[in-house]
Amino acid sequence: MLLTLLKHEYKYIIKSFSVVYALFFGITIVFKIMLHMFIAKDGEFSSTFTATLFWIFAISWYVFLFVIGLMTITNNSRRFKKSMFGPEGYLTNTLPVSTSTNIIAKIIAGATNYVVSYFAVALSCNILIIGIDGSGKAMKAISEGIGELFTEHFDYVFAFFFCSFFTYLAFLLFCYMLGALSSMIGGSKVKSFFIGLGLIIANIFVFSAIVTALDDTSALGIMFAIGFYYMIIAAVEFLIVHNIVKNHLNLQ
Amino acid sequence: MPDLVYLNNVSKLYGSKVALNGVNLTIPSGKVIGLLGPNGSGKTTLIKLLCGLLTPTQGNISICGYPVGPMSKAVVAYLPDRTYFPEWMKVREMLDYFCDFYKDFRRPLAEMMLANLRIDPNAPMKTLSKGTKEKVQLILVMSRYAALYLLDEPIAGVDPVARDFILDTIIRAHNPESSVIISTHLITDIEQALDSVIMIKYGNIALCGDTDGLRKAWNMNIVDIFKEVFKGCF
Repeated sequence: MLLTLLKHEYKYIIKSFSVVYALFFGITIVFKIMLHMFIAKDGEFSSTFTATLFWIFAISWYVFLFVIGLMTITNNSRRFKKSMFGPEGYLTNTLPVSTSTNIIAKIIAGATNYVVSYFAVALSCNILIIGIDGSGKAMKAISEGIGELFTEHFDYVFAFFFCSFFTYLAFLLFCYMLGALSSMIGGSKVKSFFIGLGLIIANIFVFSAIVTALDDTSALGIMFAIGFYYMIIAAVEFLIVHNIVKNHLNLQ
Repeated sequence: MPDLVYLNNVSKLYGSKVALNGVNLTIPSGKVIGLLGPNGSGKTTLIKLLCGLLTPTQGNISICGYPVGPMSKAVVAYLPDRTYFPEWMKVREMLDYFCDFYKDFRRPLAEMMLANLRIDPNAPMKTLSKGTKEKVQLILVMSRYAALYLLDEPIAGVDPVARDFILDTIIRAHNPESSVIISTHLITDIEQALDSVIMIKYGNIALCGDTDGLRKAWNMNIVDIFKEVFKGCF
């Protein structure tokens, strides 16, 4: 049933993100064409209009880089809240699947969406630099650097992914938890905001305490400690969300 | 007939408010049952407990021998009192959704009922009127060959033509070996379709039995029995 749930989650992601990705790659291509014109004319544009257009596309592209990552999180957490606690919850929560499977499917779909967005951004960067003088050498140097990192400093690479994965998971589940808490307390956005703010401040204190305590430890140790810290946070958040869905469901 | 639903001392509290109070109930297969009671009597709470949207504060529930969970949800078809469709889906995609999750879903029957009502399967959900969405939802639920159908206020707030369509669909489409629980306070419209009634008052079962037996014992129709049982409750 997990695969069936994922199939429908991915259908939703494709529907809601295909336009975003199409727009992003559209902007990338136009920006690339303009960038080539800019380079070919030694940084001079034939008119103010062309120059303005170039800067509009350049800024749009940079904005998209940040927005696309943020959108994957907000879109996924909004979807979670709507499908679990909104009217759609009458359908989702009566499916012949366990509560855990339902939540896990949404986490996997959210993480996949994030990874796809990450690759979209990487691909867009590649499209932009391909064809520019010296880009071949730069690409070769980057790929050699990445290869070296994996072969000679695998422990650091592993620690980085371990830390990033659980930080992302804890943040995603934090968004889910806020949605669940907000539904449980009757959809009060003000209360949910203060609960969220309180938890973020508490997290900053604990996070700072961990980093201070590990002052003499290596970067590797700190990354693993942060990874473990967020692993525990994610587990607690999962249990809270699971408990609310199972025992305190308050459908709108 | 074997018991389809079994409730043992089931209570549900919302904070300090008692919605259901130690309910003991058995429901056999092959019956159309009216779950009757005024607003706030506990009808929807009972239905939500049976379909797994709520967890009882106390007591046990089993459906087809399964405790409420994924196994019981696979044999229960639930129609809530509001529409639940994801707005981004099309009617056809909802059929796919039900096909994927419910092994007992009869797609040809659903397609036939949609065609009879001239509902376009390629129509996006967000373009359908409230009434059409309700009809699609009823078609989806009644196209399942479930063991238990839970219908929460299916005829509330609809026009007489739609009411006839709904009742006709319920009676004709449901699996004859299953039971149908219809929660309503519009008894006149459905009295003839009911085999049994369960009347709930302040979270307790006030009266339960076969409609024929009750009519004979009270020497009045179900509407009048309802009025007698709930005298002073409104």
